[in-house]
Amino acid sequence: MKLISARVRNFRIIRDSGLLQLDSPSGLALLGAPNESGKSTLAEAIHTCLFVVHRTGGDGFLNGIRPKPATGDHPEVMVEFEANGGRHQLRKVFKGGKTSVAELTLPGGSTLSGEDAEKRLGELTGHAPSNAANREKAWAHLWVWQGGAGDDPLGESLPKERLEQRLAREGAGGVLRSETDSLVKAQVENLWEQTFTATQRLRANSDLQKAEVALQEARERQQAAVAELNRLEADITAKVDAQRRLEEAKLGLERVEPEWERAQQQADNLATLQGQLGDAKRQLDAAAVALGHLSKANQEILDRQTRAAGLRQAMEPAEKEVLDLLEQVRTAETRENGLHEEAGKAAQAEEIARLQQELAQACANLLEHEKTLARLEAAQADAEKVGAEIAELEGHLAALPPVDDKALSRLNGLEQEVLVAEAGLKSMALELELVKADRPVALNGAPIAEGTTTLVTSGAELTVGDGVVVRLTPGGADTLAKTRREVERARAALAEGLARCQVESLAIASRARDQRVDLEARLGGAKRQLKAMGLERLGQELTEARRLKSVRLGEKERLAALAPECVIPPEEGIAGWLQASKEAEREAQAANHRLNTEFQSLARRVTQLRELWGKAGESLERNRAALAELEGGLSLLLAEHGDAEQRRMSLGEAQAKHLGSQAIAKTIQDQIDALNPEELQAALTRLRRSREQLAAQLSEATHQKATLDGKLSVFPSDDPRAEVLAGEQRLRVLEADHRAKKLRADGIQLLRDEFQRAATEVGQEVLRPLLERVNRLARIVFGHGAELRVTSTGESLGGLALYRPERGLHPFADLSAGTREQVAGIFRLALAGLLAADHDGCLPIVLDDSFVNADPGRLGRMHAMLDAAASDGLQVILITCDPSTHATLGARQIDLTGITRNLAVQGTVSAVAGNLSEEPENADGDNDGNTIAMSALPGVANRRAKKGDGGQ
Amino acid sequence: MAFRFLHTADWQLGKPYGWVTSPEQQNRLREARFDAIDRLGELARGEGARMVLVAGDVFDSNRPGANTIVTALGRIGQMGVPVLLIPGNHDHGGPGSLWETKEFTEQSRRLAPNLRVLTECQPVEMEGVVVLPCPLLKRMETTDTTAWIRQLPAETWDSFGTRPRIVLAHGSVREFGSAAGEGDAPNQIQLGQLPSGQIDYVALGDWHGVKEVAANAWYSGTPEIDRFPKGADNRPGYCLIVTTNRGANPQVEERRTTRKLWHQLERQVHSSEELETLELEFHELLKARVNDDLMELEISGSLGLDGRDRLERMLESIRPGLIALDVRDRVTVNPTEEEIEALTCRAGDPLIRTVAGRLLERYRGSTGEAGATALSALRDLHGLVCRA
Repeated sequence: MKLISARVRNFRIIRDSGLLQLDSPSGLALLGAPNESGKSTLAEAIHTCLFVVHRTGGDGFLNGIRPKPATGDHPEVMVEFEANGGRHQLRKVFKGGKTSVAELTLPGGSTLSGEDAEKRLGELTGHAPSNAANREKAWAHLWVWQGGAGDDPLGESLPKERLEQRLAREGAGGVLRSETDSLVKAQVENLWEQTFTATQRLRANSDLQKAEVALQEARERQQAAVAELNRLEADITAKVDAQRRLEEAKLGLERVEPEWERAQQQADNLATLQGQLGDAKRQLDAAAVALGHLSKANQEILDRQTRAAGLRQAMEPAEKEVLDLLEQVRTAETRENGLHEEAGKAAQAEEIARLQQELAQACANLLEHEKTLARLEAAQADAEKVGAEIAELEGHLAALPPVDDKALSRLNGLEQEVLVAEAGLKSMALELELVKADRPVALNGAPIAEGTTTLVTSGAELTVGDGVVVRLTPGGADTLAKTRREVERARAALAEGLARCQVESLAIASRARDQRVDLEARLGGAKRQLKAMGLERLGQELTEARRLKSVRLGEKERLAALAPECVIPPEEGIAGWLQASKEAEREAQAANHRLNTEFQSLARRVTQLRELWGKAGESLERNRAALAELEGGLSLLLAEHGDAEQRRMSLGEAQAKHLGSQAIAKTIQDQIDALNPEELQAALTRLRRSREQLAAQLSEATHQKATLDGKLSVFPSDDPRAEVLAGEQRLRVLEADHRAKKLRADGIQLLRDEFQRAATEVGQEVLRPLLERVNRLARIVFGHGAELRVTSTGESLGGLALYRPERGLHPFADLSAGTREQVAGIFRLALAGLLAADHDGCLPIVLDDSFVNADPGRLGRMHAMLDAAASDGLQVILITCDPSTHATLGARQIDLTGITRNLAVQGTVSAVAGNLSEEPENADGDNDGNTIAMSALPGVANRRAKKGDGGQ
Repeated sequence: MAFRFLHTADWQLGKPYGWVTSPEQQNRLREARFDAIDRLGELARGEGARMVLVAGDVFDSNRPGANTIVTALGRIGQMGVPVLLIPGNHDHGGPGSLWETKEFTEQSRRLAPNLRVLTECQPVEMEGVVVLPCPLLKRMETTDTTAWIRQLPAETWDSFGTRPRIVLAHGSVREFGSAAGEGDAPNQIQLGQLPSGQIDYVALGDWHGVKEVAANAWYSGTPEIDRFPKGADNRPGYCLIVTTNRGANPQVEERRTTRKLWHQLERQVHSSEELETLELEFHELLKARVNDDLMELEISGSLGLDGRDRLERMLESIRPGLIALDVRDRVTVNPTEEEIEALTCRAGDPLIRTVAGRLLERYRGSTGEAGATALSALRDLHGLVCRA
C-alpha cells in the first residue's frame, strides 16, 4: 500500500493544503515547513481519514479537528492511495453525524460510500476504522508521531498478531503459536505458581510449604516432648538417688552411734583426770615457788657478798688518778693566764699599725686626686674659650643678608628673564635719529634735538613743525605692548627678589653668599672642636672629682683623729711613709697571730684535763654509791633469811616437798596420756560431724523423696515416652514427605526453567526473518558487526538491545535519546518491510520529526538506511521543520509552507477525488458522545507537550 | 487337679503409632488395643478360664497417660475373671512407674478389683494354682528374673502341694528370643535353670507372635497386631487357653483375637499386566474392608512414565480405605520408546520437544538428586502433555 496524494481542508489550522503529491520514484518524501506550519496536523488529518469512522461525533473529537479559528466549515480530507494493485480515492467529511461523508472510489471507478466505504477501507489498510479513542492504535508501528521516535518499538505499538502471522508465513509456520506448547507451558507456569511466588519464594499454603511447616512444627513438638521426657527421667533418677541417699544415711547413723557413745564415755573419764591433774599441778607449783624463793635469796646473799669485796678492791687506783689530774689542771691554768695578757698587748700594737697604714693611704689618695682635679679644670677653661669663638661667628653670620645658593640662583634666573625681555623690546622698538631739521621736531610733544637718537617703544606722535604730525607705531601695537609688559613684569620680579634678599644688586648678593659660606665653614669647625672636647662629660667629671676630693679629705681627717700620735710628712714623703706603715702593720699582725695560736692550744689542753678529772671523779663516786647499796641490801637479806646454816636447813625442807608433788602429778598425767586426749578429741569432732551430716542427708533425702513421690504419683494426660517415640516416627514420616514434596517442587522449577529457556531459543528462531531485516539496516547505521537483539519467550517480545562489537550490549532504555530514535527507526522500518509483503510489497511509514538528535555523521548513515528501506519497497515519508538537514536523503521535497493559508481555490476539493464537494451545513450533529477529541488523546497530547511545537 | 486359664501378653496399651500420619487412624489403632481386652474377657469367660495371666507389657510405657490407665482399668474390670499381670520391659516397675503410684492403686481398686499387679518376686498362692511372678523392675534387667525361683527351699515347694506351678515372666529365653530379631536382649530368662520337675507352665511375654518354646513354655504373643510381622513364623494376634495339671504337660490352645490386619507385601512390577495383577491382588486382599487394614508395600521393578503414573494412581485409590499405607518405593522409571517419541518427536510443539529432550538427557546423565529432579520434571511434563 502506498500513499499517492492528499488534500486537507478546514482541519484545525489548515484551511486548504492544496493537493499534495506524496509518492515519488525513490519512495522517499520529505514534507518540510517551519514550526507551526501545520505539518503534524496534516499527518494527523491523513491518519484520521484512514482510521477514524466518518460519522464519529462528540464535541471532544470534533472540536479537536474543526477549523481554528472557527469558520463553520467541516473538516474534509482526501487521500489517494494504491492498494491491491489499483488506485483508490478516499474522501471524508467529518460533521459528527449521519451527514458526514465517506466515499471510496475504487480502481474501476465505482464508488463506495458510508459504511461500505469504511469496511472496504479497513480491508485495504488491515485496520478497520473505528472511533477516535482507538485511532492511536492504528498503524502505530508505521506512524511515528512527533516526539515518539524514541519510544520502544516493542511496546504497545507492536502489531503482535500481524507479526506472528507474517513470521509464520515466512517459514517458521506454526512454531510461534503452537497451541499445545502454549497450553502446556501455561500449565507448567500454573504448577510453578502453585508452589512459588513471583519473587522465587515458596508460596504460602503450597504443598512444599505446608510440608515444611508441618516438619518444623513436628520438630518443635518433638523438642518439647524430649524435654518433658528428660524432666521425667531426671525426676525418676533423682528419686532413685534420694532413696539411695536415704538408706545410706540410715546405715551410716547406725554405724556411727556406738562409736559416738564410746568416745563420749572416754571423754568423761578424761575430764575427771584432767581435774585431778589440775589440783596436783597447783600443789607442785606452790612447792616449786617456795623452793625457788629460798634458793634465789640464798644465791643473792652470796652474790652481793662477792660483788662488795670486788668493788672495794677496784676503787683504790681510781682515787689516786683523780688527785694527779687535779694537779695538772692547775698548772696549765696558770700558763693560760700569762698568755692571755701577752696577746692583749700584741692586738693593741696591730691596731695602731693598721690605723697608721690607713692614714698614710688616705693621704696618698688625696694627693693623687688633687692632681686629677687640676687637669680637669684646665680642660674646662679651654672649652669655654672655643664656645666664645662660636658665639662670635654666629653673630657675624646673623648680620649677613639672607642669600644662599638657592636664593642667588633664583636672582640670576630673574635677571636673565629681564635681559631677555629687554632684548625683545629693543628688537621691536623704533630708533629715531634726528639728523637735521629746519623746523621744530617733537615726539609726543617733547622736542627732539638734532643729532639725538630716541628709542620709540610705543605708539607716539612725531610733530614736525606745525603742520606735520606723524604717528609712529613701532613693532605692531599689541606685540610691542605685550613685550613691554613682560619687561616690566620681569623687572618687578627681579626687584622683589633683591628686596627679599635684602640686597640692592645681584653683585652684592653674590658677595653676601660668599661671606656666608666662609662663616658657616668656620662655625662648623669650632663646633666640632667643642664637641670633641666633650664639654658635657667634662663637667660631670669635674663635679665628681670635686665631690671625691671632699670625701677623701674627710677620710684623712677621720683617720688622723683616730691616730693622733702619727706625724704626717710633707707631700714628697707621703709615698715612703705609706710603704713603711704597711710593713709595720704586717709585722704586728704576725706577732699577734703567733700568741693567739699558742693560747688556743693551751686552752684546749686545760679543757681536756678538766674533763678527764671530772670523769674519774664521777666513776669513783658511782662505785662508792654501789658499794653502799650492796652493803645495805645484804644486811636486809641476812636479817630475813638468817645465816648460812639456817638457810641450808630451810632449802632441804622445800626440796623434799617439791619432789612429792611431782610424783603425784606424773601418775595422773600417765593416766591421761593413756586415754590419748588428742585422738579422742579428733574422734569426737569427726563423729559429731558425721552424725550431723548423716542427719542432714537423712532429712534432705526424705524430703526430696517425698516431693518426688508426690510429683511422680500424678499422671499427666500424655505419656512422655510415647510422645517422644511417636514424635520420632512422625518426624521420619514428615521428613520423607518433605523430601518428596521438595523433589516435586525442584522438578517443577526445573520444568519451568527449561520451558523458559526453550521459549527464548525458539522465539529467536521464529524471529529470524525479522531480525535479518533489522540487522541489515542496523549494520548500515552502526557498522559491521552491529545488531539489534530481542528477547522472545514465544509469547511476547521484549528486551530490545543494541550490540556493537566495540561497545558491547546496551539495553534500549540505556541508550542515548538520539540512538534510541535510530534504533527504534531501524526496527520500525524492518518491521514495515516484513509486513509489507501482505500489502503488495509496500507500506508507508511516516516519521514526524524523527532523528532530530542525530549527529551529521549518524544522520548520513540514517539516510543510507532509509534509502535502503525505500529500495526494498517501503514508502518513507519524513516530516521535518528543517529540510536542509535531510538534503543527502535524495527525497522528493514537498514544501508545506502556507498550508494554513487558503492556497487552493475556495470550494470543492476536486483536483484528485473529483467530486469532493462542500457539504451543506448540517446542524443535527450526530454526536454519539463516545468519541474523544484527537487533541485529548494522551499520546498525541503528550508528544505535543514534549516537543513544545504548538501541537500542529 | 486341672487348672484352666487364659495366657496373654504385650497388650501395649497407649502405643502412639506416630508413623501413622492421620490422628484419626492413630486413634483407631489405639482403640483396637483396648477392644482386644474385651475379646479376651469374652474368651476367658467362654472358655471357662479361672484367671487371665498377662505376661508383661500391658502398657506401651511405664508412664502412660491418665486416660490410657483409666480406660485400661475400666476394660479389665469388665473381664469378669481375676487378672494377674507383671510389669514388662515397656511398663517396667521401679521408681517413677505407674505401679508405684497411689493414683494407680486407688483407680485400680475402684475400677478393676479383679486386677492384681505382681511387682514382687514371691509365690502367689491361689486356689488351685501357684503363680511365680518374675516382674521386670528395670527396662533392661541384666540378671535372670526367674533366679529367685531357684532359691526357693524344698519346704516351700512342698507347701504348694498338688497345685500347678505357673511361672509368669517377660523377656527372651536362651533357646529363643532376640537372636531371632525381636525382643529385648538384656532381659534373658534361663528356662533351663528352673528347678527340674517343679514348674508346670511358663507363661512368657515380649515376643509378639504366638510361639511354643517348650512343651510347657509358650509366648502367647500380642492379642492385637501392633506392627508388620517379621518372618513367616511370626504369628501375632492370638491368645492361649491353657489347661495345666501338676506334673503333666499343659494343654495349650490358640485363639485368634486380632481385628486389624497388617499386610506386608513385597512385589515387583515391570509392565501394565503386572500392574493389573497387583491391582487385582489389592482388591482380593482388602475386599470391602475399610479402616481395618494396614499395608507395608515394598515395591520394585521398572516402569515407563505411564506405568509409573498408573501405579501411583492405584496406590492413591487404595490409600483412603487403609489405616495406613507404607510404600517402600524402589520402582525405577524408564520411559518407553513410545513415551519418548511422544514427547520428543513433536514437530509442531517445539517447546515441549526441546524441554523433553533436555530433561531426558539430564535424567539419563545424572544420578542422585539431579536425576530424581529431572525425572520428577519429566513425569510432570508427561502428565501435562497427556492431558493437553
